[in-house]
Amino acid sequence: MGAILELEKVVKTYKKGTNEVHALAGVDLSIERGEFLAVVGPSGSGKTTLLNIVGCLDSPTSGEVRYDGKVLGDMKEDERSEYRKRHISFIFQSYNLIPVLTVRENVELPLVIERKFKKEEIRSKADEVIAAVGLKGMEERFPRELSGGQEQRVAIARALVKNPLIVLADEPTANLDSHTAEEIVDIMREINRTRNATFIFSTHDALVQKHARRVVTIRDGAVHSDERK
Amino acid sequence: MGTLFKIAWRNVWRHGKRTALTVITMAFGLGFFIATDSMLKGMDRGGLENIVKLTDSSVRISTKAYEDERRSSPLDYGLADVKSLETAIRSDQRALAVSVRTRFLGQLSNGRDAIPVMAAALDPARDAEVFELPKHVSGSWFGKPESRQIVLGSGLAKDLGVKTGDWVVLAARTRYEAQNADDFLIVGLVDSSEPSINRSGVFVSFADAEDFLELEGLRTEMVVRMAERVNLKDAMADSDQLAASVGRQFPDLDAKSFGEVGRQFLELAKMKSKGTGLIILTILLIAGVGIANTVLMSVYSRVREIGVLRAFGLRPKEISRLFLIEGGLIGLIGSIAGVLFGLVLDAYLVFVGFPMDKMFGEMDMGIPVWGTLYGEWNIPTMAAAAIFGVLVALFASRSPAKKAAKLEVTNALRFV
Repeated sequence: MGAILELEKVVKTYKKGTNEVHALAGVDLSIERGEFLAVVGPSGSGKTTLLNIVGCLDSPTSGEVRYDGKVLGDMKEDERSEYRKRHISFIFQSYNLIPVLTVRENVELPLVIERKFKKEEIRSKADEVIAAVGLKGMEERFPRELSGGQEQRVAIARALVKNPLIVLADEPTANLDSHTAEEIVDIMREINRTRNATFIFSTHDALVQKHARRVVTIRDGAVHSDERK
Repeated sequence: MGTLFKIAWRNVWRHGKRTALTVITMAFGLGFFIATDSMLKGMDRGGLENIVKLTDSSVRISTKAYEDERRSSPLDYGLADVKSLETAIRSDQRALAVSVRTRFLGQLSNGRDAIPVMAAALDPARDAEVFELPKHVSGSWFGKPESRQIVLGSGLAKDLGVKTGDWVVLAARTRYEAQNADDFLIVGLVDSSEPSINRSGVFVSFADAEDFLELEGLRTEMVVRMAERVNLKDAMADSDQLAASVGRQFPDLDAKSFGEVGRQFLELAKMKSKGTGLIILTILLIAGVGIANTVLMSVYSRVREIGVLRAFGLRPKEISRLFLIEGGLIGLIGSIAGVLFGLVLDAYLVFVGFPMDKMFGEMDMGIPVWGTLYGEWNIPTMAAAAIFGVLVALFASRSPAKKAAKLEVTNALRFV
């Protein structure tokens, strides 16, 4: 299977006052479709920066990121929005659901933004993933009425509803208890298996690392190890 | 667009107190704007009615020489042929009543104090066909001529400390420049909506004035009442046409139409109302700042949400649109509340009225009407106020919306 994402000598430097912070210092990485990959490393090692760049939320200072052969760095802001809209989904550590939208409306949101489907199709796709993450019957609830685990399930459903090729998850289990975290990882593994979605996590969680089929360790902005199981 | 609208609408109510404060500010600003406009329009209408019904009539005719010196009300320039003039006027079907007056200046005294007055000699019965003064008289509008009688403005009577049934001394120069003074019995007091009449109006009948002023039939002006029209413009046009016709037939005469006098009055009123407009504009600007603040706070409290929307592919201009919709909605709600508040205030002004005399007492407010001031329904002003409110809201939301659109996604997602 060919790589859907390729990173070549990716460098990201931030300016903090008069100092320069090298968040990524020449990362080379090739990711294939359907991988279940964990990016691990100590805090400040560059995990989130790597995910932001892969997710087209940020641009590298130098180097190249290619998605299906297309260089992401060449894209304008609107093209980057389009790229995210079509191909990428995100799961955040603190869920980041839209508080004024119900569970169903939150899950429908990526499809509504995509503007490709009819209302009925959007509804049926949303209900399908809501059921897949075990939240059937909670469609009309608002985020404030859910537990942390339930919120993260909604976030997963929202990430998967558009059937993305890549799901980027930044510390998805960090705010959950171990039992709920295990459930969430199981759901993601199941979806990775059945839908062939590529999952890339940044995580400190040993449980996530245990279930990952590939673990990339980042240290000081560079790939320290790349272990396939 | 539907989802953006839904998010915007729910966010408007997410911080209910904040929205309510902004809406209340707008409602007060717009409501008072509508009510003030209603009062100004009522004032204009009242002033115009006073011109027609109390001071000038629909068309007022005098000689050109008299018109040049009108302020001093000279007894030197009488109408030459009253009969022919009246016949010419009455040939116009729209002229319902005609009367004549002779104005003069004098001094009115209670025996101790004297006050300068603007007086008019008139034919009580015929004058009542043209003007509505008798409607505002307490006492009587002249009675049987057993003694010299006078009708005064109520304010003037108060200043002199006299009342109906008292005697006053009226002093004036006769037509032949002789100084004359005589006792007059006060038979009526005028308390009208025209402040100048209340303050210094003095009316005597020709029966008494002929002798007193040695008039010998001198009539300085003719006044005409024309058929009422629903539309102000039509009433003005009617008077313009009659005045023009008189001007053509009698080149030596000056015919002042209600249209001409009324337009001058409205022009003056417009200038006076500019100050009020500035106050209202200031209130609306404050409301605008409130809206900008509300939307800006909304942006700051939803930075992460903006980050999520951007991460899922919403473009910067769509983010901007989201906050513009939110500001526009607040503006719309504020405008609707403002119009409703304005409607309530208008209803009070139209049906109950604003008691100028009770509120301001003897103070001269420079207002063209007196007594109870009634407002006017002003639907176009309400519509304009609502549109203006929404536009102010949209304008005020522009900057915060741009700010939201410019947020870096990564920074927004990190924002706590």
